[in-house]
Amino acid sequence: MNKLTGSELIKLEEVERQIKARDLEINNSFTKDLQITALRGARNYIGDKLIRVAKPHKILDPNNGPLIAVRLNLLSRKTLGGLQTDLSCRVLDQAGNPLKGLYAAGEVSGFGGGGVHGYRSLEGTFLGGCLFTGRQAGRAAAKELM
Amino acid sequence: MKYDAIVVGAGLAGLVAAAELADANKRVLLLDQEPESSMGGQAWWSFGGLFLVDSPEQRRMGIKDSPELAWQDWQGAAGFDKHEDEDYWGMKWARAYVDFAAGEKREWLAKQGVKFFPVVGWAERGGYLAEEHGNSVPRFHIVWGTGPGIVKPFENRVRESMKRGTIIYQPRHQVTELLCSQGMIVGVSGNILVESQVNRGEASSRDIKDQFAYYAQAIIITSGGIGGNIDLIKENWPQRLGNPPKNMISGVPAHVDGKMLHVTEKAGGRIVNRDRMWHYTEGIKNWNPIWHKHGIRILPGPSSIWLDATGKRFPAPNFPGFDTLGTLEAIQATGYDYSWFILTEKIIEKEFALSGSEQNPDLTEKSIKKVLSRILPGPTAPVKAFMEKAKISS
Ligand SMILES: Cc1cc2nc3c(=O)[nH]c(=O)nc-3n(C[C@H](O)[C@H](O)[C@H](O)COP(=O)(O)OP(=O)(O)OC[C@H]3O[C@@H](n4cnc5c(N)ncnc54)[C@H](O)[C@@H]3O)c2cc1C
Repeated sequence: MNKLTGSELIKLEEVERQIKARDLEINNSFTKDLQITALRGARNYIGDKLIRVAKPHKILDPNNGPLIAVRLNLLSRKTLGGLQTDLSCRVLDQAGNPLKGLYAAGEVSGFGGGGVHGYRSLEGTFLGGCLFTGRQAGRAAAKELM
Repeated sequence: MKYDAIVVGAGLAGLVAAAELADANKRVLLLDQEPESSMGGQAWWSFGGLFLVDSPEQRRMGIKDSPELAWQDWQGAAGFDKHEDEDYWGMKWARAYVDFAAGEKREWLAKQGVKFFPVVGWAERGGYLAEEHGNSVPRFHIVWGTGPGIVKPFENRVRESMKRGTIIYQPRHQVTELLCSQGMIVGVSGNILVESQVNRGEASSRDIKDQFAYYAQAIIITSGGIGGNIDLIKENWPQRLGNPPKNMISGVPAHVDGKMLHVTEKAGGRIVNRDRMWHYTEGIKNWNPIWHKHGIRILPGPSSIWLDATGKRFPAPNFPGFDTLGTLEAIQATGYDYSWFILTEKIIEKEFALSGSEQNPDLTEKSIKKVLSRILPGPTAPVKAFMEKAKISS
């Protein structure tokens, strides 16, 4: 890991200590380690049990295969704010009045209203936000054009 | 007037808007700065995960969901705090959207041939109390055929209308100005860019061949966000997340440049909630990049041990897949812009998925045989390729 980053930030003993501590929490079917509790809880959902959540095991037990480390970077993706629009997708001006003739939908409108998600997303909400606002923009504009 | 409406951007939102207008017998001009190869925008690259509430897929998996529960979760995730101002319309949209996801959405899509993978995924698990962030139940429905599978029906509708002449599609048309007259937006103008033969998602030339101006009674902006524009991301970076990160990889193609936001603002449109963004913390560099700094998101199962850059385990509930923004905040507080997963082979086999259509050939190609092999031991082929070619050390 240090080779990958060209630093000495990672101390083997430190990492080992924390994972050993975590592994000690596996012996009982109950535990104080909230991550392990979460794993067990998740496996009550059949979908997770089938294809998503490994059976809780000791990370340092060699039977569980070699250890893997993955360096994770920050990855840019979505914009949650954007053009403020009313429920007809009309773009609003600084005073909150619709700009005549102008509509917005999808990510540029924060997927609706300039921020349908607030600060966080529940995921899978972006494509649906494009569908919902895109449909509404098309329909609202068509109606206005009658 | 030649056109009733002009749609700026042929991503998913633009395709849907254009298709709906054409269905109402309107004449539509659909403009996009990219060549035709990129029609569908980001959605084509997406994993095709859709938020649905109380769906038959959920019920078959024994999940009890309801609009009440989903709305509770949505409000907990959103944390709206500018009720009378910047959040005013966003909150109204949120309420309407949850109802849409619990109601019409699935059937509307089913009528257009969209089907779903039977196992519903559980994203953003939260880890707090009932009224705080997170999905109480799994709601992530993967479209059979992933991103291309959600683009296709709308692209088909648009292409049908193109044949009938009700939609005129003009790629390589970059809008740079909204034209105003007597307090109304009456048209768009901009640059016709030189022809480009690039493949989907690759950056295309910005050289200009000519200019254009078009007029219509309705202009619909569907130009996407700012995710491909690192400068804009840094400029709008929220203080609550510390200094903007020095290094970020890009989860979206270069056309997600955000420039139309400024163009619309200049014409009088209001931008709100500029500092709210949704970036991921589990990015790995694509060993086979399509766009500049192309990064892929690991969709992690919850078992990996998550350490900060100095090797310290993140506190609860910063577990993989629990709270994207909360973990980003925790990472930013370390002063480093990266972190680590430590895991075993058993975990990687079962828990590593990669987001994006091209990283899930089985689901994207709708191959039941390949999908079933996910249950077998061993990581998926794209995960294996990353283990071999990318900087994953074991
Ligand atoms: C890899 C990946 C995985 C994803 N997975 C999911 C998922 O599983 N679930 C989910 O809900 N969401 C997902 N998303 C997010 C989702 O795909 C996007 O938020 C959504 O597709 C945005 O659609 P849009 O139509 O608003 O904008 P875009 O797709 O960005 O399209 C905008 C279009 O406008 C054009 N344009 C921009 N400016 C101009 C201009 N000035 N003049 C002319 N044309 C212009 C662009 O060229 C582009 O074609 C994912 C995204 C990616 C990249």
